[in-house]
Parts: sequence; structure tokens; C-alpha cells
Amino acid sequence: MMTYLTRALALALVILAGPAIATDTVLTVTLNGTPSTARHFDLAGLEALGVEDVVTVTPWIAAETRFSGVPLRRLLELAPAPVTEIHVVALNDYTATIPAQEARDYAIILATRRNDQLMPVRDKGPLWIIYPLSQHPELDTTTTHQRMVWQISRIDLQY
Amino acid sequence: MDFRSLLSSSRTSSWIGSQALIELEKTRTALATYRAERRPKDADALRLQFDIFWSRVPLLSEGREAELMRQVGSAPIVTGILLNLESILPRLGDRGILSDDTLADLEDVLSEVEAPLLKNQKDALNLKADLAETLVTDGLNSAVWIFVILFCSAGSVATVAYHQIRTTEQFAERTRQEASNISALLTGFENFANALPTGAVIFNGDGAILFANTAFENLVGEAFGGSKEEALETIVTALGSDSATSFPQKARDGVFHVLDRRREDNLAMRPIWGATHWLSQPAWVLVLQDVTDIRKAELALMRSSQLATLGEMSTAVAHEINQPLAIVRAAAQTSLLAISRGQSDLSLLKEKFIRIERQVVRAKAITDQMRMYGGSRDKETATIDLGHCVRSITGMIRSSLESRDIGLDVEAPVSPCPTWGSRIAIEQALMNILINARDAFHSGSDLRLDAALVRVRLIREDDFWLVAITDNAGGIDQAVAETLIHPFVTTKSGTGAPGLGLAVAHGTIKEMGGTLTARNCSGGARFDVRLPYRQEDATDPASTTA
Repeated sequence: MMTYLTRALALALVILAGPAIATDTVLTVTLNGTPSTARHFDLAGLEALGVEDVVTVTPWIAAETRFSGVPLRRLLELAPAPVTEIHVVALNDYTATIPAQEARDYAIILATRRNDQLMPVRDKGPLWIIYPLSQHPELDTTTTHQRMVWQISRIDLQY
Repeated sequence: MDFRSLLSSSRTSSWIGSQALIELEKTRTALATYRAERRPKDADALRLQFDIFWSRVPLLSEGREAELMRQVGSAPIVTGILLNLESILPRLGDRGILSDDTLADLEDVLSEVEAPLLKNQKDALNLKADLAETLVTDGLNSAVWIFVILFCSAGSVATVAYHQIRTTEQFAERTRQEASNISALLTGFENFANALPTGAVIFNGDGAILFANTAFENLVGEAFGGSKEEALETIVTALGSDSATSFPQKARDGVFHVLDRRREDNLAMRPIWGATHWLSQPAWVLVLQDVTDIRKAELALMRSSQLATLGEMSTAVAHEINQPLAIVRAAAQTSLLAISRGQSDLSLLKEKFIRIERQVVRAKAITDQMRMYGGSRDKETATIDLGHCVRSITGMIRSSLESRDIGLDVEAPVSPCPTWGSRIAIEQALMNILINARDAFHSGSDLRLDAALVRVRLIREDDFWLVAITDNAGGIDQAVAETLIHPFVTTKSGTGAPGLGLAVAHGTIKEMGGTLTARNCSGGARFDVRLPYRQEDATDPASTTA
């Protein structure tokens, strides 16, 4: 999977007027931690789930930034039963757990683009969990910041 | 700065620095892994890890969380580091093999960016300590300064004892919120620490363990046995310190070995340590990288080069052994002739047999020395007398040189020249260099004003021993000189000998804390081996013998 990712990112580095679609896995989604349920998404497949924008400041970028990506609540639909927790794993094995209810209550997205550009690993890509902090100041807490995982490679839906 | 922004600004500042440093170390490991076996997937893993490290750098100066780091001047440091990383980027490419030049340069870049990162980290920690002092003396009430002190602990958190805080209802609500922030931080830190594939342990000046991650606990259970504290003592003494309470005095860098009880094998570990705070007390964080697999691959490489060197040395050995055999044969023939002629002078025969016995002893000494090279005795490290090594190795190659009309001039002190490491490994390295010098006389010009000569000098240079091996076989191209230590580069054509020898020599010497350099000197080439002057205990408590 590392190889795929590198190739996907090589494409991501090319800045095009329109979206550049990579054809290699950027995300693996599993259910209840079971490997046999693994579903692999390339960028096109992920964005096909539907894309929304979130414009927000973050603790790491001073200016308001427009992020586009798949709403987290859409990902919940990949599970056959109501999801309780979303377990997110990054490329460097950093993990965080997001209560599924938060994904239903807020427009949290799994961002694939920043200002329409794909995000290389060097820029915290390819995938980044973005909370609508500017719209919901009550979310601007340490707990939330911990959940805004970048360089995501795997998501496990627990139910 | 108000209370809240102080908390968020100091929250993860040095945390960010720690993360950057850890990703830097992981990049080094990825580089070593690739170098060991050259698998394409390891090249890709190295590129990815490089990108992950890169992504950490701007965090030190951008955004809210970098407030504290900016105060100690992180912005220009970040710019400098990014420039450095950018310079090596084109050579990494995005697929395919990586050349040795690129790997060496990448290694240099990583070392260059490490120093400013460390300094920035230390400055941030010191500043936080200052901030705490300032706020306390400004007369903030005790409730607030508890938080401030706690937050001024780098990457550390604590649960708050509410009952110690006298508050109004509103303040209580705010402290509850901050307390939940604190425990979120704790969870985040634990997540991060437990995700590390390396064992990490935080301990204080009393040797008490304040935090240990999952990987460390696994190490303790599987490899060390005993309690975490006992394992810590073992590690700390293996690093050269007297105990955890006096750490890091005398602690040295470099791979050390511990016995893995379960696997009944040696684990090779590389330590990284640094100062930190935990619950506002100064503490040490020690991270252990398991480099056993890398070491094993390097050993395998070294053994294959030993065999290659053995192949080359077999002619020298044959020559050495042929001499005593020739004498034995002559003695036997003379005796047989005497007997067949009816000569019954026993004293003549006795003299011949004595001569035969002496030659057999001489031949056995040669085969004994050869047998040492086949074994993989890397685990034995001890105090080595470098002078003895030099004399031993030059003695072995002397006749091989003489048979090619190459002179050998050796100068080494008779008094002990102590360094520390594996005797076999350093003898191997010196032999490789000498063989290289010997072979240089073939490919060089046939016209020489002076007689062919290889000169070996061992002298003390400050804290180092310098073994200078020079030849007058004609110079080497300077660019080639620099690459000779890289594997598979050889100026010997068609000999079938892969140019592994010098590369392995370089690796060995480097691991012993020394350097190997090659350059031209008048009429020939000069290889300088520098090894640290070291008087260590002959018995290293943590190294084991097979």
C-alpha cells in the first residue's frame, strides 16, 4: 500500500486546473477491525461518495482555508449497523477515536483537497479530518484538535 | 497573554518538537533499512517517511500551536530546514533505486537539520520554565498557577485535584473544561506514544519510571524479563552510565546489544534520549529503536564480503602455507634419500624431523588465523590493541605483497593502542584496505620512479588513533576516491570480486565511532582510518557472547 500511496502522491503534486484523479488506494476502511471487511478507496472512489466544503481556521493554518472532502457521516453508511466509534489511523500510526455521534451532529469532513488542490504527504495529505471550527467555536478544544488527524491511511468503523 | 491562550499556546509546543525529532529518527532507520537489503519497497518506505518528517517541520512555526516555538526563533530555523530538505528532494525521485551518493547526502542532510531542531526544542523548554516562574511571581492565585505549572510541562498532563481549587461556580466550569482538555492531551500523548514502534520510557533522576509505552512494556516482557525498573537499569548500564540515577553521564551513542530471552538471540538496539519534563519535574525520555533486523542484514553483507575477501586471500594463504610445506617436503625427501642410501646417521634424521615439526606448527598458525575470519563473532566487543591488529594483518599480507615486488613498511607503537569494538571486524576492515592497496598496483601505470611501496602508519591524533595506509600505485580519480567506500564500486575490472570490502570497512569503522577517508597523495592514494582512543572495561555488561 505504501507503493500505491507514493504513486498517488506523485500525481497529487501536479497542480492542474481540474481535479487530478489518482487510481491507487488512499484509504482502507474496515469494519470492527476485521481485515476481511477491508474496502480500498482510491481518490476518485472516495470523492464519488459525495464532496462538501468546510471553510475554517485551524490551529495549524492561521488563515481561513477551504477544505473539500467526504462528509464523515457518509462514511458511516458503509457499515451495516449504526456506528458507535470511528477509529482513525495515520501513516505514522498515530490514532484517534471519534464518537460517531459527532459525525452526525457536525459537518465534519474527510478532506481530500485544500483550496481545490490535492494534499501531498508533505502537506499533511492525502486525507485530513477537518472539523468546522469557525462555524462551531464550541468545538475548538484540545479534544477536537486531537481528532483532526492528518495523513490518514486507515479508518475502522466500530459498531 | 490570557490564561486560556497561554494554555493553548504552550500545550503542544515542545510536543511538536518531540514529534519532529522522532520522525527524523524514523527516517534514519528507514534509510538504514533500505541500505541493508536494497529492497524496492524499502526505498518507497524511505520516501514516505521522509515526507512524513518534512510535514512536521512547518508546524514548528505556523499556526496557533507554534506560538511558543516562534518566540524562541523557530521561523528562520524552519525556513533553513525546509531549504535543506528541498535540496535533496529531486534526487530522491518518486520511484526506483536510490544511489549511494544520494543516501550519503540524505544522511548528511538529516544530521544538519537535527542540530537546529534540538536547540529550538531546548530553548522552548527553557522558555516555558521561565514563563511559569513569571506568572507565579505576578501573583496569580494558586488555582491558576497549578494549571500553568502543569502545562509548562512538555508534552505532559495530569488530572487535576478539584478539591484543591477554591473557585467560584464560573471558574469551576472553566477548570472542568480545562481538565477535560488535559485528559484529552493525556490520551493524545498516550495514543502517540503507544503508536511508536519503538520502546519509549520516561524516568526521573531517582530512576523512577514515570511513563512507559506499550512497545517498551513488550520489550521488558519478551526480552529483558524482570520489572520495568530492572530493564531500565540494564539498558542504562549498557549505554555506559553507572545507573539510571546518574544518567546520562558517560552515556554513549551507538548500537548496543541485549539478550532476548525469548528468542535466545541478541537484540541490537539504538537509543535516543533527551531531556523533558513530566508533571513539572525534570525527566529523561529514552527511546529505543530495535535495529536487529538491520544489523542482521549488515552482518550477512559483511559475511559475504568476508567470503569474497577470503577468496582473495586464498592465494596469499596458499603462498604462506606452501612455504612450510616446501620445507617439509624437502626435509622428507632428504630423509628418504638418506635412508635409501643406507645412511644410518640418526642425528641427521632427527634434525630433519625437528624441522618438519616446526614447519607444521608454522602452517597451523596460519590456518588458525584464517579460521577466525569465517566465523561471525560480531557479538564480541572488547578493548582492542590496535597496534597488535595492525601488526597481525600486515604480517598476513606481507608475503602476498612481496611476491608482487611490493614493499611493505609498517610503523606501529609496541605500547598498547586501545580502542573499543570487535577485533575481527577491525582486522577485516584493515585487510580490505590493504588488499585494495595491493591490487591498485595492477591497474596503475607500469612506469614508476620509485619502487612499489605500501606504507602503514599507526599514530595517536588527539582522541583518535590514525591508521594511515598509503601506496604509490598512482592516484585515483578524486571523484572515484570518494565513492570507493560505497558498495559495488570497484576499479578492479574482471576480477570477479565485488567491491564490497571497502564499503563494509567503512560501515564497521563508522559503527566503532571512527571514520574512513580516501584521498590522493603524491603518486598514490591514502586511506585514513580513525578510531577513538578508548579505555573501556573489557567486559561490557550487556553484550553477550554466543
